[in-house]
Amino acid sequence: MQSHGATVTRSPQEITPAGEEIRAWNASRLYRWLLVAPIAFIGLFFLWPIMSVIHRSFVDPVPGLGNYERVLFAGPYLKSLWITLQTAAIVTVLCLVIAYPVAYVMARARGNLFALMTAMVVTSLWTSVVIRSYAWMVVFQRRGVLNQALVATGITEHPVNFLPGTLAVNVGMVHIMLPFMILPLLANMRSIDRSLVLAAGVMGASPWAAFRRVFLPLSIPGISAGSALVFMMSLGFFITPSLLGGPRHMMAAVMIEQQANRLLDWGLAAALSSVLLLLTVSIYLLYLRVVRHAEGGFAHAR
Amino acid sequence: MASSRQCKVTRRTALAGLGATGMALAMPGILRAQSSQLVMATGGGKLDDAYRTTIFNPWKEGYGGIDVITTSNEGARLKAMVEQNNVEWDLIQGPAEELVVYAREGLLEPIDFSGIDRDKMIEGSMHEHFVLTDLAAHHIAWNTDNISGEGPGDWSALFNLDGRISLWKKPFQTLEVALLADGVSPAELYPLDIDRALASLDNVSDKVLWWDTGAQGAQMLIDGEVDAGSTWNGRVHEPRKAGAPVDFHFNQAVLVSDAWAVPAGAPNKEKALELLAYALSAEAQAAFAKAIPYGPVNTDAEALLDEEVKADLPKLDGSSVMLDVDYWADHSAEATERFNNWLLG
Repeated sequence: MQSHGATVTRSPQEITPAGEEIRAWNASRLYRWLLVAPIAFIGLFFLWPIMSVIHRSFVDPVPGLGNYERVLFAGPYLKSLWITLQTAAIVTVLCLVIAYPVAYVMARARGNLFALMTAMVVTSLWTSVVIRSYAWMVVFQRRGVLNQALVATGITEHPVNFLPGTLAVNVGMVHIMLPFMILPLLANMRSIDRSLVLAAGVMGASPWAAFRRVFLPLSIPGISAGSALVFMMSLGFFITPSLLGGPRHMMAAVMIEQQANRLLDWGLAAALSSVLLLLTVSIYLLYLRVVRHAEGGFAHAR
Repeated sequence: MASSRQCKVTRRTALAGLGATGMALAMPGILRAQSSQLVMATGGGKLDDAYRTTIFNPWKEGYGGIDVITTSNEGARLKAMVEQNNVEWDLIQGPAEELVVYAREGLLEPIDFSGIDRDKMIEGSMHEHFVLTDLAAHHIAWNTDNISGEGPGDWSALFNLDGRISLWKKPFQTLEVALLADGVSPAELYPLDIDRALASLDNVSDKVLWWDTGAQGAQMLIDGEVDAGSTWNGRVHEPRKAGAPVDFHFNQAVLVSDAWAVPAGAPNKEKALELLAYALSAEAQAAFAKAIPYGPVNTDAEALLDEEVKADLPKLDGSSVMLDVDYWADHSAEATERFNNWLLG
């Protein structure tokens, strides 16, 4: 999106009559130098390994497209990628639906109440994902807390077989991912100027219209950041779906682990990882376009 | 614009980076520098504890005071270390059907058997690149609250059970179980008829709960989440003794083994082989079987065990089958692909 009417940013250098550059020490130059270390770090420990994984997917065990042929046509891999995308998408939507009202209320809270609410969201991150997944197993199993309550209250006559099941997987994953949706939404909503909503009311908008036409568009950056975070993280989920889900919840990460760690077929593992990466990046780019469009429309109106 | 400042910053960054990597790289070097230590990669958990008390500690006391430190036995780490010619492990332990894959990949040293009395070892336990060190059972178990009286007598009874059953979410051992349930005799099991095994699993797919880890499989049985299922005897032996509502038998058990091997390029090969020879001695084998109910591979160890302990050990008899590791060496990749494809429907 081109910024309309923006002036060309000039480099902070002055040209003397003799044509020499005088380098002024200013903040923007400093910021550029500050980026060197993180970029070097990311290049060395993130980009380089990813490049070598992609490279390996084309040359191990023999140069060619053999690994991709297997990923695309040999059966389980494409199915598992599809399941992975599906699961990640469902978890993202559920997280958004639950987190939005929570963040909305939290954004209005002040003082001790706000501190308490934040603590409640953040403390769930202190326990490991494995432990929390096992805990959900205990809750959902045939003689678990939930079934005992259901039978005791007479809602069901016999225990329900929650495990393995889509419900259990979604509950477990949403529980783990929720803070990653709430926190970006909260940061965004706290920066929204509430007087804009008031102003809309003064100008005759109903509370719903004021929310829908003023608050909601302003919260899109939070929605987009939270959704992207939750979606990407859900794609790599491993232990929760395998503990709470049935055989059809076999995520791509499980397949990659099997190939990389047990069968030692690194070429296939690399191809599978590369396809997952490619899918993730393309979905993200598509998503960015959509979101930018929504945000852009609003920015113009402002 | 290569100003001097830029150089300085990049140099500093590079130095910091090198420092960090240097530290990380030096750590295994420190471990290796001490010749009074061996590094062994294991699966951890109870097995690791049993190795420590029955093998590592007595070996250290009796044979030269060398400490054995253990680390996690991830195959990917082994492959990376061998590829980069920087092997930190002196020994590796793992399920035989996994080590055989590593052997095929060239990640294991051929074993020098000169210190080992091969005649004393049970048939099929000594391989070129690894040795089996115990005999465990993959067998039928049931929850005694859910099933009063006798549990399923064989795999076919388990598959026909009116209730929920649990199976391992891996092709190894589970395909064997599926074929035994379908009436294939132990003698005709290998080479596995994968089509027939998957068809046999089709019949039960609605009532199976799949377990990933041994702990999870045992928990399903003990909590009564399933009525009966497959498990390893090391996982349910203690709970049954402690009064948990679980019972089992070894009829038609698939016998599986932990194996030990020396990684290609291991830093202390001689010492590693000495430890391996000790682990296979009758003395160590008997002590290990008392600590964890996995049968010895050294036939002399039986004489050192009393009847009570022996009764709980899996053994090769007419009904049980020994997992064919050579079959799995050739068919792991194919069977995993087909099994996963079947799981995903």
